[in-house]
Amino acid sequence: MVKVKQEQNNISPNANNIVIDDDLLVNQARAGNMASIERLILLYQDRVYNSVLKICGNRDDAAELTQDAFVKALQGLKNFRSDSSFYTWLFRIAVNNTLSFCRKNKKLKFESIDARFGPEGRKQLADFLADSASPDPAKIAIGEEIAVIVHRGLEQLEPAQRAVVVLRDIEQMSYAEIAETLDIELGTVKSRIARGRESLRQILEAVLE
Amino acid sequence: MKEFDKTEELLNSYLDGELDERRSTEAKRLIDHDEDVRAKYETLEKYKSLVEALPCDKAPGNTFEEITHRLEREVLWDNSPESSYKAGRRHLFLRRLVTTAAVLFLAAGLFVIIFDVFVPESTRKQFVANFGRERQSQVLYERPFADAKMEPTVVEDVRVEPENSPIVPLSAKLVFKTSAPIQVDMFVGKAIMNRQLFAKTTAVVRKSSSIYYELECDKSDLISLIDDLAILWKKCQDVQMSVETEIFDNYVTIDRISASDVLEICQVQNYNQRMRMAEDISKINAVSPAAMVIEKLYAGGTDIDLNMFELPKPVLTEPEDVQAKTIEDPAKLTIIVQR
Repeated sequence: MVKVKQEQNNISPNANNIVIDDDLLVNQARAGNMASIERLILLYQDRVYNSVLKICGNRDDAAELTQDAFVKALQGLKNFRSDSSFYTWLFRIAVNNTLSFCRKNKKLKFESIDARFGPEGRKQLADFLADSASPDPAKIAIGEEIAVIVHRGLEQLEPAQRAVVVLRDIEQMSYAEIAETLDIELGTVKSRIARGRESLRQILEAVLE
Repeated sequence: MKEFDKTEELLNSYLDGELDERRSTEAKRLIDHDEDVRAKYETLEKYKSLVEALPCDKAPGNTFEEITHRLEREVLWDNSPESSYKAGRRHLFLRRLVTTAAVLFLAAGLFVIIFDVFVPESTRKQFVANFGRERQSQVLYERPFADAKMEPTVVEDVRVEPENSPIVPLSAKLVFKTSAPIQVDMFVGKAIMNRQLFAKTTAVVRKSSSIYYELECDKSDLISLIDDLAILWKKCQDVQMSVETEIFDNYVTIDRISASDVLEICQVQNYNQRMRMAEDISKINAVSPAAMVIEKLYAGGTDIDLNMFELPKPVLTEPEDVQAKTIEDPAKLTIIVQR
């Protein structure tokens, strides 16, 4: 059964208040049921797009890569074995596609992180980090300027590190799911998360200096 | 692995709730008792919450439509990897087929070129004529009823078509053997000039006992020239004609040839007929001296008709239009005046 994780990210696909059996939708889609295909797309399109955008950093590319992932996944439904969930399988296609895209477009470097931020955003970020109170993610509402800085900070990470951080902290995947999605060892997931977060910390602290 | 990395991983795993109970207790104890670790953990917590708090971006409104359109296109164009594989195989097969056809075509072309260059024309024509014709096996058997009367077979007249022969332009030598070579030479030169054939005379060679004129001209000019030279026969002891065969430097030689025979041979278009006529006249002329001897024996008042010893000349039975064709044919004639 798919727990609708969008609630955590405030993403609510159309008509997704009902918990739906993924396997049932997949079987119906495999039989050519357009309604099930539509439901699968509506169920996951925002999550896939959100993660892909955080990894590739460009809205147009993210839209294109999201479509690619769905087309490939739905075309390959007949080859899909139910060893893993459709969700993991779809994300595996989407993230690996995006990482390939990032590798091919290495030359398209993101702009320098501190080129566009005014003192206001930096001050807000410094206040947030200096606050001794333990942060509650559910209650945090960061300002737009801080969000842009964090976005840019993520973009400075290595694509492989960025992917695991996004899958963990944004998509809320478990380490095991990340390992399955990226087809890597669990130990690799742990080290990449640790290194990714450390790199992000260094990058953001450099912005504040 | 460095101790630092181990602690980092432990703290991150603890933060993400990925540790079992024992490791979780261990991490908690570490955080509670070590100031640096606790500070590190709190920093990690802050940065994690920063990323988690990033606003979620929704897919563009047309995502669903775009995906379904692309799926429809893929189905319509049948662009799936499986069908692409089949299409690829079909394409490969077609390419191989075309390549094979091209190779065969080139080989056939090469064969035709080699055949055309190295095989004589007559052999080629014979080969082409016999190509595809089935050989009928000859059955030999004894007639079962030897005395039985066979019905007479009516043989109908069949029009004999001129056989195919290679197109070989006339090439001949005409030798005037005379005791007055200077006069004959002057006459030949004048005739050539009068017929405006001097420009077509490729060589004039004067030796001590003979003069050569080599002409390459139309057959019509040649016939006109020979017609002009007919008067020379009276000045010559003998006139010899050599007609070149298909084989290089191989001639059929005719002794004591008359001007009219020369003209007839020159007018024949068909190579086989020309050669057959030349051979026939050559044989007849070889027999003629014997007839002359007999003529002398019976010269004294006998009633023998001497014309009976004159062998009939071969007559051309070619269709009428052949002569017309000969007019434009190229011809080569070497006139030799000999003492």
